[in-house]
Amino acid sequence: MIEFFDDHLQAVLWAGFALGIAYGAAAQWSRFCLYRGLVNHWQKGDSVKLHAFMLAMAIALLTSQALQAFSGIDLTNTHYHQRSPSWPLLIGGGVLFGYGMHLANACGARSLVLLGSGNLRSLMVLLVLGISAYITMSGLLAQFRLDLETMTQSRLPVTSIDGLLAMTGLSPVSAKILTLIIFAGALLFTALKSAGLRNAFTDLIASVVIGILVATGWWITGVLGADDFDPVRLASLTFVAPIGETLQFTMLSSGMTLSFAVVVVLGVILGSFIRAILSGEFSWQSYDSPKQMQRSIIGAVLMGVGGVLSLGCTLGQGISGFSTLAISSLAALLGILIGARFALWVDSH
Amino acid sequence: MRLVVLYTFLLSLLVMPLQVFADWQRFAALKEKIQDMTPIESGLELTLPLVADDGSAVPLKVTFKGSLAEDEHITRLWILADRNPNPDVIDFEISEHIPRIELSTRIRLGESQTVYALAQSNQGNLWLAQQEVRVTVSGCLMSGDDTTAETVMSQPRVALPRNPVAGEAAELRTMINHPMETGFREDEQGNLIAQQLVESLQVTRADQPVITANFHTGTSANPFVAFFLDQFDELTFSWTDQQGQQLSEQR
Repeated sequence: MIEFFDDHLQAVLWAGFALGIAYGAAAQWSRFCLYRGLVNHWQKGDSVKLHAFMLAMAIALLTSQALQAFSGIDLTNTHYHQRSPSWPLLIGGGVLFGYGMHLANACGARSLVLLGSGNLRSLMVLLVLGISAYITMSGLLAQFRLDLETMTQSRLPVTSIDGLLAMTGLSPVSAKILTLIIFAGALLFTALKSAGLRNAFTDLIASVVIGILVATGWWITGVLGADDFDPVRLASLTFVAPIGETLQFTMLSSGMTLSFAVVVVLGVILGSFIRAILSGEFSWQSYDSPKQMQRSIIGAVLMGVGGVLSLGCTLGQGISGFSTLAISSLAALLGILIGARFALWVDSH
Repeated sequence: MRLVVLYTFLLSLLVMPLQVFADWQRFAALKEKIQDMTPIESGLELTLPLVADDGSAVPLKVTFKGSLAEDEHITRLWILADRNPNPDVIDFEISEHIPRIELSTRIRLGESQTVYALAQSNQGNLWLAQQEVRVTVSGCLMSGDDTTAETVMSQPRVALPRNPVAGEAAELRTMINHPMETGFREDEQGNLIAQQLVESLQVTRADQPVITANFHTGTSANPFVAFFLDQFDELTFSWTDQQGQQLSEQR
């Protein structure tokens, strides 16, 4: 496949763009969204969207681990597997992200999809989210973040969930298989036991597709992007830092090279746009009141800052990071759930 | 109209002293090489990202497009960074067998600074190029990962162009695994880690020197060098480290 392109970098960029388009179209079609799933589940008792997210997690986990077993990619080389993570930042960042997600009414990935279908509120959210992410990562708050990180870091003997299990004396292979059975089994069982998701054809198909797309992302960067001299950094679908990087790229492209993260972001917007136009769902939307705008700006700031502290968003940590079986992903996801639940509780009191 | 003239005049007064005293004259390591000569400030091009979020491996390319007299060719090329603890990054000894000067490598930048490239021809002419790079703190979020690689050279690799044709210039890439320990870093107990560098890569064809790259503390770990050649037979690549160890690859 690589023969069609000048070099592996070009192959990664085109494949990443296609990956983004596919995700954008699938997520626009099924309105894939963890936040909507949580709100429906907690407030209306309707769990279809939440189960759809769990199904995507399970499929991503199984396909990514299968890819790792057959292609020789080492998913523990991703940044989700930190040797010395900071638990307070991972969980605290997740809480900020979850709270922000409630204020802004969507997470980063969902905002990209909404922008593609004409939602200008999402444009505001994305601009603010991207800038706050970079402020935290390499800007005004960067030193503060690094200091906090150094203060709260703790060294881990292992970085993966199956590694933790293997410490009990199990062989690495059986520990991995056991972990997969437990996690994928629990997720699949919960997602599919009630009739809701089984009868929601769109959600069912889109979740399976999104799960596979995550593994495809690992394949693009890990297999297409492999090179003795200039390997591409292992990555898949994730949407906090990449949104900031895309903004930065639009402003500094003469002195920057295009990256996988940026083409994925652009692809998602385009994919959602195409699908929205084709289905007649495209419509311009904007804020109804200053109050609503305030809420979404604050939400976007919290998501940008929190997303960087917790090293990822609902999709980045919740699905991509989780598919690598990183312990830090569970912590971040837990933080996001706490944050979202807390936000709903605050709203109802 | 008169106002415009006046402002232009005032503005040029302001700018002039800055122009007369170029940046590089304040940079001792560069001044030492240039001395009283006047380098030509066009023709040599330095390509670096404006913003680097990983200062430990900033991709650098230097290209020469200036005009040369007959029998004149570039023999030396230095890359220097003015705010690194040691300004030496990498330098090249270039033979006339190199068909075109377009060299790529990866460099270390400790902070935001200006990177300089200085080229010298066999007739003593000098060309200078400079480019400012802003280095941000670990944008890659990979801090805290301290893999202690072994300080020996391993996995030397050479990639010839995909379809090499004799007489047609094409790019060739080389790389070797080595941590390039600078001697400025401290271990967990606060002791300085001893310097361990790959000193050079020598490329020869049928025992004739083609190009030599000398690596310094500013060269990234796993030194990478790409350059152009138009003859691809009987090539030998040898890397030498500070302890005198040597690894060779034949092509």
